[in-house]
Amino acid sequence: MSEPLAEEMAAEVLGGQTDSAGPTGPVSRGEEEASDTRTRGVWIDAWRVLRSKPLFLISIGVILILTLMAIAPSWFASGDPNQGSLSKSLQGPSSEGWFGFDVNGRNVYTRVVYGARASLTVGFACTLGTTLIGIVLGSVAAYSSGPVDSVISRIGDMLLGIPFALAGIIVLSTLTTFDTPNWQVETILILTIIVFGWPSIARVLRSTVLVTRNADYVVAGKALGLSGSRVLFRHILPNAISPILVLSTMRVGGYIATEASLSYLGLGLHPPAVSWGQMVSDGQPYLRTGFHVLLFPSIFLAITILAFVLAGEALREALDPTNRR
Amino acid sequence: MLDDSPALPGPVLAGAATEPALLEVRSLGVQIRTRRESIDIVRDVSFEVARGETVAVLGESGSGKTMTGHAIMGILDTPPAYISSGSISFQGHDLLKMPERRRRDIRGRHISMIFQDSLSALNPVFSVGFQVAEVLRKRAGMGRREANARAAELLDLVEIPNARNRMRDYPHEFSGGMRQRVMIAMAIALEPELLIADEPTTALDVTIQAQIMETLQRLCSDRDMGLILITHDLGVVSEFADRIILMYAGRVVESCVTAGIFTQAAHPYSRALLDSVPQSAHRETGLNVIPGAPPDPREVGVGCAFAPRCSHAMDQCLVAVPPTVTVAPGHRSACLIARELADHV
Amino acid sequence: MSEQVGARSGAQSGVQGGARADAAGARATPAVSPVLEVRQVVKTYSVGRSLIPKRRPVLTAVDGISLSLAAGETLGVVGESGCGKSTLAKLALGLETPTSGTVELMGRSLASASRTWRSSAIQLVMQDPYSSLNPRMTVYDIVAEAFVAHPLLAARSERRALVVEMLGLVGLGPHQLEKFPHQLSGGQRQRVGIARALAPKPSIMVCDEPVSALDVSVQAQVINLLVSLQSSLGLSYVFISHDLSIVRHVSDRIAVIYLGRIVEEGPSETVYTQPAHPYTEALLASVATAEFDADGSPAKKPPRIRGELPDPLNPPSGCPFRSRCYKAQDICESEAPDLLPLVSQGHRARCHFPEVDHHQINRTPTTSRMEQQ
Repeated sequence: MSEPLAEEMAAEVLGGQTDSAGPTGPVSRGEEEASDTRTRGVWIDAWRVLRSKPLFLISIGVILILTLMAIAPSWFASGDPNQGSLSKSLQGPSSEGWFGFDVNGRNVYTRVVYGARASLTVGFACTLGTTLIGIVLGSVAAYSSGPVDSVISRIGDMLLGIPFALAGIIVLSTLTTFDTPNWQVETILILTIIVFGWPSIARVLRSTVLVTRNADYVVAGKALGLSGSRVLFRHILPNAISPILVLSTMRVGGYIATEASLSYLGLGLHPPAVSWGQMVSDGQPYLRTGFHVLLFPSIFLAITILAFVLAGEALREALDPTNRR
Repeated sequence: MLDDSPALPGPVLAGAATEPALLEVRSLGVQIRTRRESIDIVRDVSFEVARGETVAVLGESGSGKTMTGHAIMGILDTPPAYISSGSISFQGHDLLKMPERRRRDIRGRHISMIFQDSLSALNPVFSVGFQVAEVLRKRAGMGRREANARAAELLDLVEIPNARNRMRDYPHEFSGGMRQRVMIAMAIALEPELLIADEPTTALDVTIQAQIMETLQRLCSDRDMGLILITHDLGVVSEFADRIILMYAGRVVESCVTAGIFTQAAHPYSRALLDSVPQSAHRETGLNVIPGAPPDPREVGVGCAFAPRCSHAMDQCLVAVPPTVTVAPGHRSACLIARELADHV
Repeated sequence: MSEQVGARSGAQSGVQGGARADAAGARATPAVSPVLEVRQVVKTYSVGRSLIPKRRPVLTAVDGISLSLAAGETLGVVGESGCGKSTLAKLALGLETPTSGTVELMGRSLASASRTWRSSAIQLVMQDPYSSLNPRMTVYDIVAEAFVAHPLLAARSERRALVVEMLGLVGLGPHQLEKFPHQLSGGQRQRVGIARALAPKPSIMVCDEPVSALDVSVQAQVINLLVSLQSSLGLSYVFISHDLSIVRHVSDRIAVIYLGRIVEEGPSETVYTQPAHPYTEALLASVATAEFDADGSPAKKPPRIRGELPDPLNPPSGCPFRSRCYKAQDICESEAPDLLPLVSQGHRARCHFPEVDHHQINRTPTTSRMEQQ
């Protein structure tokens, strides 16, 4: 890690003296679609950077495989995740069951594969929801200042004080019973997390927007006569959003874990649905006799979270043109 | 014309040979090393500073002036910056050959430094009085009471009004000029023989700049303290420096007593620089422009770094770095036509 | 009125009493009337976080400034940080609304002007070329944005050619189009900023410290560029700087601002060579000029001022400059001086004891006529 650091410092010491860095980026482009190619250019350049980052490629690969697992689990594992024979109860990993068997003798590998769907759905949906709402409310708060800002910020602070798990317990225990279909439970769970999760995104965005809003290029854009929305979407948000990219990807894991803890408490998904959270909670009492029951879903959980974090970090770096030469 | 080799050691000022200089920098080179490349930031820089003398190291961004200051102070960021050649001797002792422990003792006690950004150089959570007194307690072994009294004296000395009562204030409660005075008080607390001021007034308003410079000048002459004034501001230099070391792309291109550069500049760069400052005659003709921009240190070739922008450039300029010649006592210039320029006022 | 048209020779104050009289008639012929007229503008901000609005301290950033700018003229605005010069720029650009007073562009009130009209009349060049360009946009995008804001200026298909033309005006080539700001030097970035400001074809440009962040050897390039653009495109400039020597070089007239008020105003050579207000003298003394006498000693300088800018939330009574002034008397504390005409034409100063005397005729209590301009 010290070498990139050294280069960064070198760049700093050398100041902005990079104008002779030679021709960068494609120069000849169609004249008609000039404006459009330019916007795409940023993404093309970003992709060019990302393509050469092994960590990004690995994490994207992991995310793709997991997504595929969630869509078509039967491609990865044969058999029914809920079917087991008690004779195999808590058997360790073997050629018959790569990840071993749980207390009911069900194949842990099959269950991990089938559990991906619930966990990833919660992770994806909550990230998308919290990020979108957080961005909208955060920028509205920063932009309006005054009473609207105060209302949004105070509501956010209030929601932020309640942990997801507690909120989930209250909402799920009042709105669902044991008979509620799993898809309804999942929807309510996702909505609850979104409602209680957006403030942390909004909060970070609000402060970065407040800083960016006073940037010189924003003043220049206003002087140029650009509309408020153009200034917001073209100048403020792109420059304010990079911390959000990282924060959001880091929180994917938190959402999946919330689902896990609620399932552990018996409030989340219930059989026949399978989720990693459920598996972790199921395995917890057998920590000593059947460690593998807990281990493998936890590993998948960790790998998923790590993959999202690394991908988000790489994306943020790639979208920052000052990292490019 | 080629009588002086560029790295020739020896006194610059006639008659200075009897008394050893306070600071003597010889053929100093500083490199930034990354995995991919080594970039020379400072190349073959030599100069000296006598007690009580103010030497301005003048240059634009990327000229290597700040790195030179950091090298003397011993605060280069290593890695990536390394001293690649030369010597820095302070009162006859080579700083570069000293163990780090002795070097640390010299820093602050004998050589100290003030920076451009006084807000980030002061710790925001301690009062300024505490910060000045802390230097005295930690480095001079004073007790709390004695250190506080001395700190108040020091703040008074740098002309902070009502110093005794402002001891308890925090850095953000001071204006930029007053903070810079606090920095000066801390820098002179241990009575160093040499002070390095890196763009001390650049961040300040013009009416405040002059006040700060006057305070610095008074302190230096009262204490017979050497001052290295690192700056890009010709105006400040003209008023406050005894001698000028003009740097361009890591090298010293001209060095002389201050008036020399204004009356008989012997390098095309210094001439062009003086010409580009607006004066009454320029209103009709437009300002004289130096084409291009200061080079990227990576792109400096074998010849004179200024040649691509120089109106006098010849083929020889691109072949090798012009040797430094003495055009008058104490006036040296690294240009092939230095003598002609100096004679042509 | 005709003397106001000439660019360089028009070193006349465009705010004489006579100009006011035929202002109504002059408006029909926009070439003669001032392109920018600022009248008695005040801008206050409430600062602090007190819940009761009345308890919040009020900061008066601009305190009754009147200025006018003739076509093709350059007005230099000089002052230190916190004097209100940047607020004045924002008021002229319509980015801030005055608390009281009016701003008119080409005889049209800014308050009723549309965003598009306003931004095609007046544009801005900013100080710091490192922060004034969006780091995520290419040079092409930055300049072409003017045509997004002003779609009537260029059809989509013409944009690229126009952007190349704008870059050509500021001395940049088409090979710079795809570069990001961080790949350019400071001088090149400032040129991009100028090209962006030129693109909506404004008649007025506000240059807010356009060279103070640049290397000395690059400053002259940018100043020459601004001067030549002015004559080739017939622009009018408001040139804001703390550096009197640069301001004198580019300006026809200079207004010196201290704590939100004009303390001295006049033709630039007059203000530079015969400053009337002690603050102007101090600024001249502090701009450490690199001028030397023949014998090599520094040129003689007027006395320096002591002390720092007073707290703008709690300015001194009477004359705001008295706390730092070497001439201060009792009257300076009790009575705020007015901006009164001096002997030489178009030269005014707000001082009880100016270096050059006031016209005797105007030393009467009823000076509000002058103040209203």
